[in-house]
Amino acid sequence: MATIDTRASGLTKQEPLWKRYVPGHHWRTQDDEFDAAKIGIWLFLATEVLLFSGMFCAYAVFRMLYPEAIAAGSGYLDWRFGGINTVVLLISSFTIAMAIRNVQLNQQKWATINLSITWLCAAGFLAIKFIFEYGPKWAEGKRIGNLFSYPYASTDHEHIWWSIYYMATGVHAAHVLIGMGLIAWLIYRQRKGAYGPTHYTMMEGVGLYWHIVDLVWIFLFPLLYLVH
Amino acid sequence: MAHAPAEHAYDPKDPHGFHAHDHDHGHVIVSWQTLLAVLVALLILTALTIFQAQFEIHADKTWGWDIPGWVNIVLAMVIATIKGSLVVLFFMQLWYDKGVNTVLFLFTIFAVWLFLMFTMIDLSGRSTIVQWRGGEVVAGGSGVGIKREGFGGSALHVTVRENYIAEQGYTQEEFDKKLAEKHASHTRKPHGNSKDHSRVPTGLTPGLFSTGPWAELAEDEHTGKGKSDH
Repeated sequence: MATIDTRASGLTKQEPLWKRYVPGHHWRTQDDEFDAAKIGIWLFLATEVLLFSGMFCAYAVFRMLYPEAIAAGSGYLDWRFGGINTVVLLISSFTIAMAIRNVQLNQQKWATINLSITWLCAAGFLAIKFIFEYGPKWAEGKRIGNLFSYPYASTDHEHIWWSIYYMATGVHAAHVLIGMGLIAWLIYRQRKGAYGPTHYTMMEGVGLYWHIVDLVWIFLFPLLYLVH
Repeated sequence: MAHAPAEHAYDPKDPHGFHAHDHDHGHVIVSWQTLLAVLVALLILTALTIFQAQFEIHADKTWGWDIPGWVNIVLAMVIATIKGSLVVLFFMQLWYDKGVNTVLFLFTIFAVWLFLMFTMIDLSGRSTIVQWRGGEVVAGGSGVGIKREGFGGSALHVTVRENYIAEQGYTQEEFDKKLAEKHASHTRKPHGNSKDHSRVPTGLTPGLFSTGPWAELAEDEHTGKGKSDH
């Protein structure tokens, strides 16, 4: 159905939640509410981009000052882990976009499957990051600034590289973790029938957030793992 | 939407029908073919960016080609920008969406650009604009000034190394051998002309590069006549 029906009357408890959804009384239609919510999410994403731009700026500054440390530092990273994680995040971005398409078409079973794949990809990303990257590196003494204790450093400023690395990827990993919580909530609500063709505002919002997490990694990956 | 019959068009939230004809805006259902095509494009671009970085190392090791560093970073950033644009346009649907969201996003990118540019202008312009200030900046970033037991006085990595050697009871030769082993396993050796590999640091604060591998360069570029006789 192309028209979005905002009439709440006449709908019984047998109808799914998304059909019974009534927008806030200050909205004329569900569309108005949806559009306003979406602008709100975009504003939030703007602050997210600015948050990460601070880290990209730090990277640029220290790359300019100590190119040797950045070159040596990126040499410690294995592009294979970064590459796998890039693929994992790209797939998860695709599946959450597909999940939104699924609820728009009321394909509830497929929506659950796609959301679950997204969640598993997020978990996989963090598992690879912690088990193969953070863990061994921290144990070797490749740590943030003052905590740096790696005896085989080849340049003067390697601890600065590790500060940038842990801060940028760590804040990104925190976003992945928050995203996992949000996606888990989406799965729970979606199983209850909360999202459907006329109402899926929360899925759209979380979807946009998840894509921004992907977008940040698209830039972090080459800067940290590939460029030297 | 075509005109609906009167009884269907009645809406208790909109009794006068102000919005009866624009209900179907803003909800685009992107086809799965489009989404899949974008994913495939993103994966191919990821492979491409990894390939170009690996190719530089391979060309250096095998044929001794010294590809300048800017080629690597420019290619990587161009590919990342294309990937990011695909995500924003199709996964985030800005291609189909209302213009206001695009304006918001572009303004954010503009703000990021301002932020990066003004920082870079500051860094690259230091001591070329106000030369007398250049000498006031102390050598930074090496951890010389760390206030912690057993630290301070020399660069952080030197302190860490000395402590480690003392702790393990290595002789210098033993340690040097281990050091060489550690760095032999690196997939990427420090680039041949690492001093100016990424960027020639002209115009930077002199004091910053007076120690370590920068010392030679600092003598070349920053301690010439005219800069210190203020």
